Parts: sequence; structure tokens; C-alpha cells
Amino acid sequence: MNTLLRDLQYGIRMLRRAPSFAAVAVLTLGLGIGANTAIFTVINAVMLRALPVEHPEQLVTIGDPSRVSSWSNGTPRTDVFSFPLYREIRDHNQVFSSVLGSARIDNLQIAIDGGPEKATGRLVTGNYFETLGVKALIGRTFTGDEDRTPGSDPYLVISYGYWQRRFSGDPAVVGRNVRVKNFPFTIIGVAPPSFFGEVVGQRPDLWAPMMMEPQLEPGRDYLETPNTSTLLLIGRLKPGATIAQARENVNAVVKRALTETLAAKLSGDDRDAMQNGGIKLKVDVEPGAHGLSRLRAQFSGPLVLLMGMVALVLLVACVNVANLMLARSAARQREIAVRLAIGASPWRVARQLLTESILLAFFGGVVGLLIAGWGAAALVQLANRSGSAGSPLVLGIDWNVLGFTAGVCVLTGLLFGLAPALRFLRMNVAPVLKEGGRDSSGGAHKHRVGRLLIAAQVCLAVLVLMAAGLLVRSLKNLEDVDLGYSRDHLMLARVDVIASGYKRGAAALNVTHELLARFKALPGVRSATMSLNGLYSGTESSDMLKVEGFASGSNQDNISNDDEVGPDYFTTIGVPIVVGREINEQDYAAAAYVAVVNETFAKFYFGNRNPIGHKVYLVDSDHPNRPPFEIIGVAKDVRDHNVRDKAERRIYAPLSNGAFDMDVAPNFEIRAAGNPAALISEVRNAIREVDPNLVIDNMETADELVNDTLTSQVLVARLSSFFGLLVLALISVGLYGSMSYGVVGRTKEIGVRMALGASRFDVIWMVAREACIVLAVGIAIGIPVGIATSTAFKAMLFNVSKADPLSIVAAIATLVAISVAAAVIPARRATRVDPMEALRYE
Amino acid sequence: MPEPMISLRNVEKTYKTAAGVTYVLRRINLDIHEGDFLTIMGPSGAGKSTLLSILGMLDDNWTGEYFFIENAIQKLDRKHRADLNRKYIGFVFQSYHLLDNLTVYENLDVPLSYRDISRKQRASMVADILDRFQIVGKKDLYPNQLSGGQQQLVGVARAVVGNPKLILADEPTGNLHSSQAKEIMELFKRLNDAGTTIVQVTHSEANAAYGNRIIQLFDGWITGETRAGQAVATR
Ligand SMILES: Nc1ncnc2c1ncn2[C@@H]1O[C@H](COP(=O)(O)OP(=O)(O)OP(=O)(O)O)[C@@H](O)[C@H]1O
Ligand SMILES: [Mg+2]
Repeated sequence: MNTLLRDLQYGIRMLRRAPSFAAVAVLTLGLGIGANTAIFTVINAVMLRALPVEHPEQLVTIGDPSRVSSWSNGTPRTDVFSFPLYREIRDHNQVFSSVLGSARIDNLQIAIDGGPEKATGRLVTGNYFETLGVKALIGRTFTGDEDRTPGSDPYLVISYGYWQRRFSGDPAVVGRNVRVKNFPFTIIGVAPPSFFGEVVGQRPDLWAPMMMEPQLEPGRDYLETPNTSTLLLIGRLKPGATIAQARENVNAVVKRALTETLAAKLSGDDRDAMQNGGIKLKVDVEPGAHGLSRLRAQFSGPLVLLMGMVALVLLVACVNVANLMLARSAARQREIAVRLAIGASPWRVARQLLTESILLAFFGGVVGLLIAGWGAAALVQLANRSGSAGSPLVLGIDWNVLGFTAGVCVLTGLLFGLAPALRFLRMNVAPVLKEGGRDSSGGAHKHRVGRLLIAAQVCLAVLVLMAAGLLVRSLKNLEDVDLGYSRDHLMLARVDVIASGYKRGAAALNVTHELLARFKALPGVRSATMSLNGLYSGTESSDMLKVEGFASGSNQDNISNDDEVGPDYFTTIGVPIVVGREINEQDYAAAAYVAVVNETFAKFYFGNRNPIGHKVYLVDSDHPNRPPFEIIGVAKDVRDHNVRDKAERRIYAPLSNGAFDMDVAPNFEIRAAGNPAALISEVRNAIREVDPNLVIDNMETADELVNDTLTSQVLVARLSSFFGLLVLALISVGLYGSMSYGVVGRTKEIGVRMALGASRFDVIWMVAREACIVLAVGIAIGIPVGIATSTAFKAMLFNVSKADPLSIVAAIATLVAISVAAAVIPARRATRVDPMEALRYE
Repeated sequence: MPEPMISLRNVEKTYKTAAGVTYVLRRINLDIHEGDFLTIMGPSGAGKSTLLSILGMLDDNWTGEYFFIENAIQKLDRKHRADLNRKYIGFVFQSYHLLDNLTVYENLDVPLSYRDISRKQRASMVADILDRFQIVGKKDLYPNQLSGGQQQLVGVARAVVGNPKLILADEPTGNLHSSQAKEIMELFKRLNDAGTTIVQVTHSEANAAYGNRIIQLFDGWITGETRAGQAVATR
């Protein structure tokens, strides 16, 4: 302990004596460690940190924890749950002391002391806070009684952040009456500061009892139907119960519920499918300490990739510092030699050197933490393109992050300190002392190690740059991909007519048509149409069909995606009709049962035959007399919900027939003559003129919508380019430093050579050649390794091969250009003096 | 009388030090003709090495005029000076300046490698010079494996390997014993007889005797000149 203290004191003194060395090293390490800590902070928040609740390790998630905002209509699901199915699990399981359910609330508007304002919130079961073990900071939370009677408990618990932000932390907020979606509620409590909910990546302003769903989602009463699945569940295991038991028990309960208890409420087709096994009833039950998160599913891959990248960045930084240390250790040879000569054990000397390295690394770590705090926030900003108020993610530096950073510091310190320390362990003392500091044998060794380090660094840089190149190219390809329709000049608006109070069926359909007519009449609008699923709307529907002339026993083969579209849908969004014609006004006027299918659909069911004129039946035993649809056209495939994936088969029918789903909000596709963004306010006014109470879900240009789906791709592309630049900067600083150092050490040699007739070019080439060899070795190793490692992020690549020549050439070219510049500048400087001066240099 | 090969007019060299400006060379006027074998003598610190460096175009910081085979050196930049050095001059350094990480053979090859000579021809030239200096057995050794005298021998060999028109030798025998010194001097004499111009710095009267001219340098001034058989005072 005593010696450690002495080592530390001495280390600090050494660093203070070489302040510029220390500054460069600390800054370099700070950048490397900072980048790592920044990424780790986000990883920690998204993937590692437990929910801020009581005993998070007892929690389990039931269903797919990434579907935090799902809203599914139709056949009961087992990845998200209907309220009746939740109730079955809650009441009939044997493994949980308590099970909570939660669901999204759309278009939440709250009136506190004036007009309505936007807020975010979740619908939660009455036992929500109790299950999580979260107590109110002030007031109270829900008691559990709120699960009894629909509409009877208009209470809200608000988050600490919202309380501070909107109510300035006024304790009188408890008991305050507000209106949410125009329904009176009372605030009963404030959640504690650390509690952000059960969804990582969301920070709701308020929580409302599930039983208030009919008031908060008017027209979509789902408390009693097993067909609307929108709840995710978290259970708290009873003492002694295991995950495996929970999995078995939950699956058994769900199976019994869907085949027996709730069977009477199901449609005939669903009931049959449940009972004969046509639908698999499998429920995922997993450890739930980390809560629910869509973010986690979306960003885990990219974050791990970025973590790998910054690890490489740190290695590059380490090499820089190692080279600096090597250079400096040459200057310290005499000191060390004297220490060894007066009896210090080599191990003791090595330890002293390592202590100094780790000390440096820790200073780097402190700088790194500062950089990381800022960097992590910037990263989240970059990922959070929806631009909702405040960061959706609670970052924060906790023990995980501090531990990580400390670990990284020790590791980096050892890493870059090892080369110089080892060098001294092998040092031959006598010649150093005798020759006045010239160590002729160690010189070559030092050069070799230095060069090896730089080659390794170049290799690492190639990896980072190649990855960045591939990711940037993938993003470019994704942005340029032919979606099958023309997205410029296209604006999309979704109006939730059901939530606005229109009854399903005629009323909803009428107002939809009225809106469409208004849009078409707007100046600046070239054409307009509508659809249920539309483009990138986030809603999707599929149904079981019977296609005339197609026989297959498999259920899967008879299911197709579908959509209900307005007149002239295809011309408006710009999808060519390949065969036949599109659905037009006349079809609407005649209420015709016609359909357009996409190419994939046509090919799948008809092969090379012409599908026109064939009939498609909707399988629906509850409406056995519905007439079939006659195929009147084949449209080109459209990447309508996902840029990456190929189109799936789809059939389009007129919206007026209400044949498929009529529960979702209709989407309007409006083609502008000019800039579509300029239309937004006019479209909004048009909607208000039809009915001021109409709820607008969403209004965006097609471009924005498509780009939103590329968020994680944009994130990795931007960050990897940034890290690529960082690596280039580090490498050029490192190379410049070690070349300068090398050139200074060779000043005399350069003088002799110039005196012997070497031209400036000869000298520059002599110095640069070494850099070129090192560069060539690094690159030669880097390319195959880079190609091999790109397999690790194949999923993030799009339309580029792992050995994409352009990415490789671009990476190599930048690297070579930067490195050669960094190597040549010191050499040029060396040749500027006359040989006489160089010869005198000692 | 033909144009001199080298002509110095009022060449001066100063150093700025903390103490002020020190003059190292004062108003040097000197003509050297092709075929001359000139010896520069003078006490330590007189400026002999400095003058030799200027002649060898290794030093750029001086004033005055220097004509070298019809080139006004004072008007040339570093590159052109280096070109002339490479083309005409072989230099023996007072402190040898062998390259530490190259073998004897490689050291001898260095000046040739900067000239436009084929690899094969270079090999034969180096072999020839190793032979002439009787250091074939040392060709694979590194400088720090040689004695001081041997290093000096290599330094001389390196200066003559390229058959320069002008040899500038700064105390080429300082570390050699007398028989070795004699050999070097005789080599110089043979080269001189064959037409090579030689300028040497030495403290040894015996060495000076090989030449046809001696100039005396004192405190940066040329204080006297002796031609073979006569003495001329210039100041
Ligand atoms: N960098 C320098 N700064 C200041 N003065 C210098 C410098 N280099 C050399 N001198 C001075 O220039 C003078 C001439 O030096 P020079 O090496 O030419 O002497 P020399 O005649 O060759 O002596 P020696 O016989 O000892 O080799 C000396 O007095 C020396 O102190
Ligand atoms: Mg001298």
C-alpha cells in the first residue's frame, strides 16, 4: 500500500514535469474513453439497467416486450393481450403475486387551466403501482379498486418530471381537477422522481386507470372484447416461483382461456382455429427486470455495433499513447538504468511505469466522463427524431457506467503501458550508462515495436473506416431505393374519425368521403385519395382468403395482406397498374366488389396466368353471404411499410365496402402540385372546417415518414462516420507524432545523407517509405479482417456486398492520404535545414 | 591562366550568440584551380571546418560571393547547391559521420545510390573501393564494430567512391596511425595527379607536404599562403 502510494506520488510528479506529453495523452485517452462511456451509457440505459422499482429481478414480461404501442384488431393475439385475456391471466395464474397490464393512449390532450395541450400517458391496470412496488411521492397511487367498474375512477397519477415541468412542483396539484380528452379527471398523486414507468424509452406524463379506457378511447371500447389486443403484461413472481414455472402456467392459462372461458366471445373461424390448433397459442414469458422497450429491439443491434466500433477507436487511442510513451521512455532510459543499477528489481520499475500509465488513463477517464455525458445525450438526440419534448430515455451515470469506465481505464492503462514497461524489463543497463544514454541494441527494438503498433493501428482504422463506408453506403441505398411509388410531392394525413365520435359504418365513411372531397378541392392539390393502411402508417391488416383456382391446404398460403383504398389510389400515390385498371369513381358509385392485387399476389396465386376476372372470397363464417371480389387490375409492388423488405402479397378493395377492418383511422394521401410540406396548414384548416372536433393522428410528408423508418440506420451511419473521422484524427496525430519523433532522432542521419548528395525527395521518400510499408502491412491485414467482421452487422447492410469495393477503396484512400500527409510533413521540415545544421544536431 | 574552379570573394560567416555576433570567417578571398591540392591549416577554432562546409555547399548561411565552375552559388537555392554537391564533390567529415545502422558496404553505397548509377555498376564501384582501402573483410560490419581509425578510413573511402572532381577532406588522417595516414595521402596524391582537385584540412606538416598550396587560417582570417617553393604574405 505504501509503495503504491509512493508510485502514485512519483507518477504525478513525472506527469507534471512533462505537461505537454500528459496533456496530449490525457486528451487522446479522454476521446477514446469518452466515446466508449457515451455508448455504454446508452447501452446501460436501454439494455442493462433494471427498472427503478422494488425488486426488479422478480418481474417477468408476458408477451413481446417490444410491442409497447401495439394495437391489434381481429384474431386474439398472444404477444399483446386483450383486456379479457389479461383478466384471465391475472385471476387464474398460480405463479404471480400480481400482474399488471399497460397500453398506449392515443392523442392525449389535457386541459389544466385553459385550452387543451398535448401530453403523453399510458393506460394501466389499477394494480400497476402496487405490482411494481412504487409509492407516491405525494398523494397516492391507484389502489387496485380502479379495476372494478368501467368509467368510475377518473383519477390520474402524474410523473415527477411532468409535475415539475407543468406544475412547477406545486404540492397542491393533488386533488386538482383537469380534463383529459374532454373528460373530467382528478390528479391523486405524483410518482417518485426516479420512476419513469415500465417502458424503457418512454417517459409518460401521466398514468390513467385502464377502466377509463372507454372515456379515453371513445368508440373503441375494448374492455370486453377479446379481439382488440393492446396490453403488455408484467407479473411479479411469488416467492419461490421460477420463470420456467411461470412460462408453463401462463401458457396453460392462456390456452384454457382462448379455447374455453373466452371461446364464446370469439368469431366462429377464430374459435375453430384456436381449438384445432390452427393458431399457435404460445406466450413468451421472460425475465422482466429491464422492463418493456421497443427501443431495445430497435437499437440493440446498432448499439452493440457502435460499442464494437468505439472499442476500436479506444485501441487506436491506446496505440497513440503507447507510442508517445515509447518515445518518452527513450528519454527516460538513463533514469531507469540508474534505478536498475542501484538495485531496483525490474518488476518494481515496470510496476512504477504501469502505475504511471494507469494514472494517465484515469485522468483520461475523467475527461472521458465529461465527454460521455454530453455525447450520450447527443446520441439520444440523434436517435430521437420524432422530436418529442425532452429525452425519452433516462440516461444518467450510475455505478454500472462508473464501473465500466474505471475498468476501461485500468485496461487501457495496462494496454498502452505494457509496451514501454516490457522494454525496460529487457533493457541491458551497462551500455546505457556508459554511452551516455545511447542504447544501441534497444534502438532497433523500439523502432520495431513502434512500427508494429502503428501497423496494428492502421489495421484497426481500416476496420472502422470500412464499416463506416458500408453503413453509409447502405443508408444511401436505403434512401434511394425504389419504393414503387413516387414519394415526392406526397403528403399523408391520418384522421381518427372513430375517436372523434363517428359511429362505425355509414357515419364514419361519410365523413371520410367528405374530407376527401375537401382535400381534392384545395388549391395546390393535384389529387387525393385515401386508404386504411396506406403507406408507413404503422397499421397493417391481413385476412384469410379463398382465391378462385388456387388450392392449398396450408393456412398461411391463404392469408394475404389487404387494404381498402379510395378511388384513384394508384394514380395518386404513383403506382403503375401493370395489367387491367385501377379502382375508380364508377366502382364506388356502383358499390362494386372489385379488387386490385399486387404483382406478388398475382404471381403467388396465378403464376403466369392472367388474374383479371378471377374471384377472391373473404373467408368469414360470420358473413357467409358476402359476394366475392373480382380482380380488375394488377399493380406494381410497393414497399409500403418497410424500406428494407420486399413487398408482400396484397389485395386492395374499395374502402366503401367495409369488408376488412373498419376500426382504424383512415389515411389520406394527398399529391401536391408543389412542396407538400406547404400544404400541411391548409389540410389542417380543411379538416377543422368539416368538424373542429376531428382528431388528427398524424400529418407528414411521405419523405419524412419513410425517413423516420430509417432512424437506426441513420444513427449508425452518422455515428460510424463520426467515429471514422475520430480514428482518422487519432491516427494522423499518432503517426505525425511518431514520425516527427523519428525524424528528430534521425536528423543527423538526414544531414549526412544530404551531404552525401541525397536530394530532398530522397530524404522525404526515405522517411515516408517506412510509413508506407507500415501502412501497407496494416491495410493488407485490415481488409480481409474488415470483410470478415462485417458479417457481424450484415443485418444493417442494404444492397452492398461485404467486400464492397467502393467502401474499401474510399477507406483506404482516405487513410493513405491522411497518413502520408502526417508522415511527410515532419520529413519535409527536416529537409528544410542545411546539412551543416543537421549534422551539428545532437 | 584558366578560370579558377572555385572563387571566393569576401565570404563571411557569423554566428549570433547570446554574447553577440561572432565572426567565424572574415572576408575570405580564395581561388582554387582545377588540379590544385590545397591544404588549410590553422589552430583549433580558426574556422577551417566552417570554410570547408561552405566550399562543400553544406552550409547555407554565409555572405559574399562563391563561384563554382561558373555557378554563382550565392544565387542558388538549396536544391541546386545539393545538385552541384552531388555532381562534383566528395566530402570527408572530421567526425566521420558514418550511418550507424548501415554496414560498411552500405555506407559506401549511399553516395552512389543518390547518383544516376545502375545497381550493377554501383556494386562494382563499391567492391573496387573496398579493395583499394583493404577493408573487404570489414564490409559487413557496422560502424560501432569498427575502431576510430577504421571508421575514418571508411569515411575517406565513402568520399572518393563516386570519383568526385573535388575532394574536401576535414582532417582525414586525424585518427590514423602514420603508415595508414601515409597511404591515404598517397592515394590523394594519385587522385590529384589524375586530375582530381583536393582541399584538405590538417594539422600535420607532413600531410601538407603532399599538396601544392597551403593557406593559413587564423581567427577567421586568411593570414598567409604558401605555394610549393614560395611564401606570400597577404596581410
Ligand atoms: N553553432 C555555433 N555557434 C556559435 N559558434 C560556433 C558554432 N559552430 C562553430 N562555432 C565557432 O566557429 C569557430 C570555427 O569553428 P570550426 O569548426 O570551423 O573550427 P576549426 O578550425 O575546424 O577547429 P578544429 O581544428 O578544432 O576542428 C569556432 O570558434 C567555433 O566556436
Ligand atoms: Mg574542424
